[in-house]
Amino acid sequence: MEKNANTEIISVSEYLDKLNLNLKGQKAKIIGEVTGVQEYPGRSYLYFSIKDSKDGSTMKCFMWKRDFAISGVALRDGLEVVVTAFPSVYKPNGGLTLQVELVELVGEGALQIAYEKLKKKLELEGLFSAERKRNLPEYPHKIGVITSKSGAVINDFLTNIGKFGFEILFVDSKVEGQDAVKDLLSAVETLRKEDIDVLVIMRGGGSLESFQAFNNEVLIRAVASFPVPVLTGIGHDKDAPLVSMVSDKNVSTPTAVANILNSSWNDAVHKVNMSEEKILSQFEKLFETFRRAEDTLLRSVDRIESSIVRSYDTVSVYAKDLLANFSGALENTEEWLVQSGKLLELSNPIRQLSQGYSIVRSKGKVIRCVKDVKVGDILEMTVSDGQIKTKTI
Amino acid sequence: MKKQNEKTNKVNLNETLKKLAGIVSWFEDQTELDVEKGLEYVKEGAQLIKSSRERLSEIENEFKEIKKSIL
Repeated sequence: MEKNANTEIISVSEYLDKLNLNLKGQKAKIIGEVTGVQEYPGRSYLYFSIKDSKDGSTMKCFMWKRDFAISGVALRDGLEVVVTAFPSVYKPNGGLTLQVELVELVGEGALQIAYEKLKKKLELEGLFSAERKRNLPEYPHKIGVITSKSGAVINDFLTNIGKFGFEILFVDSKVEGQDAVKDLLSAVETLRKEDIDVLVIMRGGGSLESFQAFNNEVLIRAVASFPVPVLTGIGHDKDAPLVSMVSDKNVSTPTAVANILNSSWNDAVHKVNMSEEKILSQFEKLFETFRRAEDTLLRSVDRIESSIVRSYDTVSVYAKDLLANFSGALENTEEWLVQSGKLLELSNPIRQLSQGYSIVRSKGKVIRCVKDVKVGDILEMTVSDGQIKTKTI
Repeated sequence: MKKQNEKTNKVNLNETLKKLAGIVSWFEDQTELDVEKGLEYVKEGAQLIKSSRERLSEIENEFKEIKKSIL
C-alpha cells in the first residue's frame, strides 16, 4: 500500500478529526436570524440555528454556555445576530455545526434596546447607586491598569501620571468591540489576585457598538465585585458605558484619570511645602525672640552691675544710720542722765542743811508749822552733821 | 535635699534690706528712746548688715561668672 497523502486510507474518525482541524481555520463572522433556540437547562451548552434572511439558508450552531454568558445576548427567534464561529462536523452523526464563540447584536437599534434593558436591570439591583461607590484610597500607590498597549490612551496616561513613586501593574487588553470582553475579563481576574490599591480601566471614545464590551453584564459584575475601588476612564459621547456607571469613579479621559490619581499626592506635596515654610517661619520667629532676649540680657548686665553697687551703698548707709542713730540715742541718754543727776543734786534737801537749814521732826513727822507742836513735845532737829533733840516750852 | 536646704538658708537680700530700713526708721521715729529695745535693734541690724554684705559679695561673684560666659 502506497503512503500517499491523497490516497492514504484512513478511518472515518481519523478523517473527521483531520477535517475538523482544517475547519477550525475557517473562522468567520456570520450574520443571520436566530431560530430554534434550545437552552437545555442544567447542561453546559446550548443549540440554536441561524438562517439567512434572503434565501433561508440555515446552519445549526453549538455554543458553550460560558461563552454564551459572556456574549450577554438574550437569544430569541427572529433576532438578527452576528456569530463568530468555525464549522465542525459532529462525529456521532456527521452533522455540520457551527461552533459559536461569540454572539453579537446587529445594528444600533438592537444594541440600544439591549443597553437600556440591561441598564434598567442593573439599576433595579442598585448596582449604580451612590451608596455603593467606594472612595478612592487617599494616597494610591499600587495601581492596576487595564487598557490596550497600542493607542494614545496608555501614552496619555503615562505622560500625565505624576512622579510620586506609583507602582503600575499594566495588563494589556483589547478594548474594541464585543471581542474585547474575554480579554477584559481575563485582565480583571489577573489583577483581582494582585495586591493593588486601585484598578483603572481606560479606553478612548467611540460608538455604542465599539463600546459593546463595556456594556457586557459579566464584565460589569466583575467590576462591581472587584475587591478594591475601580476608577474608569472611558470616553463616550451619549450613553455612558455601563462599566463606567458601576465603577466607583468615572472620568472621560486618561489625562483626567491620571489627574485624579495625582491629586492627593499634589495636595500632599503642597501641604509639605506649606508646612516647611511654616516651620522655617516659626524658627525665624524663635531666632528673633532669642536675639531679642540676648539683647535684653546684655543690656541688663549693666543694670545688674549698678544695682549691686547701689545695694552695697544702701547697706553702708543703713549701717552708718544705724550706728549714728544709736550712738546719738546713747549720747542723749547719757546727757539726760547727767542733767537729771545735776537736777537731783540741786534738789537734794541734805544740800540745804549745809547752808544752815534744818529739818524738825516730832514723833517722826516733819514739823511744818507752830500748830504741829504742843508744849512739852520732844523735837528732833536734823542739821548738816547730825541731830539735836530739844523740848518745846 | 541638701541643695534645697542650702537654698532656703540663703539670705534674701531684698528682705534683709527691708528689715534694715525698718530698724533705721524705728530709730528715726523715737522721740524718747527705749535704750534696751534700741540695743536689741542695733544687734539685729548689725547682724543684718553683715549677712547683707556677705550675700551681696556672693551675688557679685556669681554675676561676674555669668557675665564672663555671656560677653
